Amino acid sequence: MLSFREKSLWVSLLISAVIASIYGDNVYHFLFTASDATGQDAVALINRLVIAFIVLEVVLHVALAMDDQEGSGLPEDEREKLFRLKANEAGYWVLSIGVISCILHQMALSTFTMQDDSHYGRFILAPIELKLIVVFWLSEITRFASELYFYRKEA
Amino acid sequence: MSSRTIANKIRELRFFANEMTQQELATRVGVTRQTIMAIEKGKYSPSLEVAFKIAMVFDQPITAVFQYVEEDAD
Repeated sequence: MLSFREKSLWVSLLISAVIASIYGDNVYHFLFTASDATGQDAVALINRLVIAFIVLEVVLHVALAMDDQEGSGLPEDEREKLFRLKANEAGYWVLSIGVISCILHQMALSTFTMQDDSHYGRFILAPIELKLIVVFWLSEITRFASELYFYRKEA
Repeated sequence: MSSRTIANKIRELRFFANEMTQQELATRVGVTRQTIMAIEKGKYSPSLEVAFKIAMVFDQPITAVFQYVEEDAD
């Protein structure tokens, strides 16, 4: 039987994966099919996804807490705290490497003029904020997946 | 050099403590049932504080509950 914390992680991982795939699909549309997409469209997309993420997290976690009232009321114990801290470290590495990569990439792009209409080229030349959001979602998914790995390793 | 691991007799002590459940032990110690299960299976080594709390629940010295034994050579 899963603890409340593990169920909560599955919910968060599922929501993150769904939001990340919707984001990826919209970014693909912006970059490759909608030639008239503007920066405001990207901002509107990010705003919608953040709101959707928050609403889904709240609604599903309230439902989870109502289903497991006893578990939801328990504080995090030492084992759960250890798993969370180890998973945070994994997510931190993904976030750090991703952000540094984006920055270095942006610096390289500002130094070397690049013109490429291929799919790969259009992604490489995409605005940095779109790439940073991808890095953020990857780090969140890494964090949740890592923590779940520690729980499942014991099962 | 042989390696050692931490073994425990929690399951046995629970049985002789009026067949205490894992949930009851978890509640008394202040951890989740899954943590007690992981400790019993040897998948998780508790902190000293939790180890002492478990020993106090059974009114036993800590060495009667946890043992630092050599791993079986396979």
